[in-house]
Amino acid sequence: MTSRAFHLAGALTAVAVSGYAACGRQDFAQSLRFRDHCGSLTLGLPPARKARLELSRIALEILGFIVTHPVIPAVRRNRETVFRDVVVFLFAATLAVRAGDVYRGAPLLRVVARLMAQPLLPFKCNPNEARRAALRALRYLSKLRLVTDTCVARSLVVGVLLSHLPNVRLHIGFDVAGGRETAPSGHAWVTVDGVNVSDASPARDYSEATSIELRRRS
Amino acid sequence: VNDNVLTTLRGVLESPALAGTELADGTSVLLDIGAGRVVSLSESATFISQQVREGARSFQELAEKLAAHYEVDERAALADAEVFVQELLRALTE
Repeated sequence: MTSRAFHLAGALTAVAVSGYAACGRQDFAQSLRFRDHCGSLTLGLPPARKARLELSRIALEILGFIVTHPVIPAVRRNRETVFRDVVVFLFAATLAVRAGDVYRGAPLLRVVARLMAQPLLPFKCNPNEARRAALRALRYLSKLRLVTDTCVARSLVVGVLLSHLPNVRLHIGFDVAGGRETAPSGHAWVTVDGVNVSDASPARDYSEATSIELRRRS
Repeated sequence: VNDNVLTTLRGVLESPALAGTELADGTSVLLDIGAGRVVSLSESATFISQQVREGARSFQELAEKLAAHYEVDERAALADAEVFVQELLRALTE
């Protein structure tokens, strides 16, 4: 597919319709054709066996991460901070693996519903904590090729970590990417009370297409 | 192509499940979050989908508007519009 800038690729099935703008007559015959039909993109871990093997690896890698992470000695004086960081990271890692289902063909809404059925943390983390944990978990797990580190996965993890808060929404938007010959760039982000909490600094304004409320069933 | 296809497409485009977003360069994106489907429309395709939404009743009417807007041959516009509408409908419903 030519949608190299399509950051949502894999989470959604993309069909690009490209053609003329105010083109001349000679181009018109080709104008309204579908340029690409990329179908469902499957990224991540398709075979179930490989997934099982890698999931067992993840547990070992996470333990390794905890005991070797350079941040931990630095904050060891404050046991509560260490405890929180570790628990939020571990929880974010499990969410990240589950969020990765969108890259294995599961519909986004179903993945959201499954994630929202996960238990809450014993304490309430704040947006900074959630974003940091999501970034760390996805960065680390993507290096192990266990998840795909994208805005969708990151937003899902941040959204679930903050789902104890009211008015948490997952947004999906688009922007013009690289001119007419490329598919638009898609982006997902999370807001709490309208404030973007999943992006440290939004690169540009995306036109919002839709948003989903991330709310737990009471 | 039967003009009823336009009515069917209008129904699909107006479905609450489908979110349409116009982008700065005149192109647009149709997003069906439930089906996990994104359709990216060029400027001209966006023009046609707008005309369908606004109530274009026949392909002939659509072709006339296309021809006037893009200064192209009406017959070519008709043929292209017919193909496009069917492909778009298929992409949104398959």
